[in-house]
Order: sequence, then C-alpha cells, then structure tokens
Amino acid sequence: MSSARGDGPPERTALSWQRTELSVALVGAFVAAAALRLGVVWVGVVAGAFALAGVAVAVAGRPREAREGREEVAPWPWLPRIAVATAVVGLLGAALGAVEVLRNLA
Amino acid sequence: MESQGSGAQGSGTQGDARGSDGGASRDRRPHSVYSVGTEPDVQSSLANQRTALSWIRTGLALVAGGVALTTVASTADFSVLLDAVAIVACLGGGALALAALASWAANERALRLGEPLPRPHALPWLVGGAVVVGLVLAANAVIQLVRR
Repeated sequence: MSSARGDGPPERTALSWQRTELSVALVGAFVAAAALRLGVVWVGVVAGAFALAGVAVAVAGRPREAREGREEVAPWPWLPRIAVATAVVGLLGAALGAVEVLRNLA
Repeated sequence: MESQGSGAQGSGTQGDARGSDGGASRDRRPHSVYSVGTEPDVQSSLANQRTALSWIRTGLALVAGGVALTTVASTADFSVLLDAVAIVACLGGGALALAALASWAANERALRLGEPLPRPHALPWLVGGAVVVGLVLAANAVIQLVRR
C-alpha cells in the first residue's frame, strides 16, 4: 500500500469488502436452508450456489488484491456485482415468500 | 470549482469540470463518474465505498429478516400477512442494494466536482418502512393475543 493512501482506510475498506462478501454468502446460505426446509428446492439450489460463489469471492477475490497492494480506489466492477448479487438474493427470498403465500391460499 | 479537501491529488485546472485529471480517469469505469472533475481526497473516496458497502449490508439484513419471517410464518397463524411483510422486506433489501450503487456514483461525482454531497435518498424510505413494518407486526401480535 502506498504511503500516500495511508495504512488505515485501505485496510478498513478491504475489511468492509470482505464483511460484505461474507454477508452475501451467509444470507445466501440462510435463504438456501430456509428454502430447502420449506421444500422449495429450486430456490434452495440457486441460493446455495450464490452462497458458495460469495465464499469463493471473499476468499480468493478482492480482499487478496487489497492485501497485495493492487487495489484500485475505483470499486468497479465489484460494487455493481455485489449490489446485483444482493438484489438476486432478495428476489430469491421474495420468491420463497410468494411460494408460501400461494401455498396458503391454495 | 474547488478541488476536494487538503489531500486532493488531481492535477487539473480549477473551473474545468470535464476529465481534468490528466487523462488518467479515462480508463476508469463508470465513465459517468470518472469523466468529470478532479481526483478527490483518496480517504473521502474510500469512505464513500465503505458507506455504499454498509448500505448493501443493511439491504442484506432486510433480506435475512424477510426470510426469517417467512420461516416463522410457515408455523404461525395468520401467515399470509407475515409472508407479505417478508416479501416486502426482501424486495426492499434488494432495492436498497441497487440504491447504494446509485448513491455511491452520485457521491463520487459530487466529491470529484467539489460539490456538496447529495442527501441520502434511501434513508427516509428505510426509516419509514421499518416503522410501518414494526407497527404492522405489533398490531398483528396484539390481534393474535386478543383472539386467544
């Protein structure tokens, strides 16, 4: 890390990225577990894949770049990717709720 | 226009708002952000990133709460209401993540142009939504208690 950037904020930012990626993985795993428990297998499979991808990115992706000092200040394209991943996990959660509503109404 | 903060690293001339940091920004995406203004204080830029990531984590918390509510609803009476609230929470969480992206871009542009930061548009919606959901769930709990 260059001294112009300082040691604090880049580390803090890298940790923030890691926390967010692991949160995506954790919430994806939670959605997968809830879906499988409620018997909505397709939601469980897709959410489980997202959880695994989140873990892979958190372990091997952006945090390692930051540690090696190659981190760009511009967060593209990671920020849109993680925002879209969150939106997809949200859609999966909403789909799970919608399936439950349809089951209750049926 | 003034460059941002004492740690500004841009080499552009003041008053020129279009890509004035020596062409280094031309390769950086999104172009709508990096084609304007001068390079801001890097700590401000990193803080802007962390703020966006915090908003995304808030969206994830909403999604997790929604899914937890769906799970609870599967064992509760009056579960259609809980499922409806869960769907709104999940969709709201996803929307909040996308809003964080737009907010990051708007803030970064403002930093580069030396303008005041735009107000956080998502915050009133988040607070209002949390209050409404809390009231609905509390009312539901009271109704369930009275019925028993």
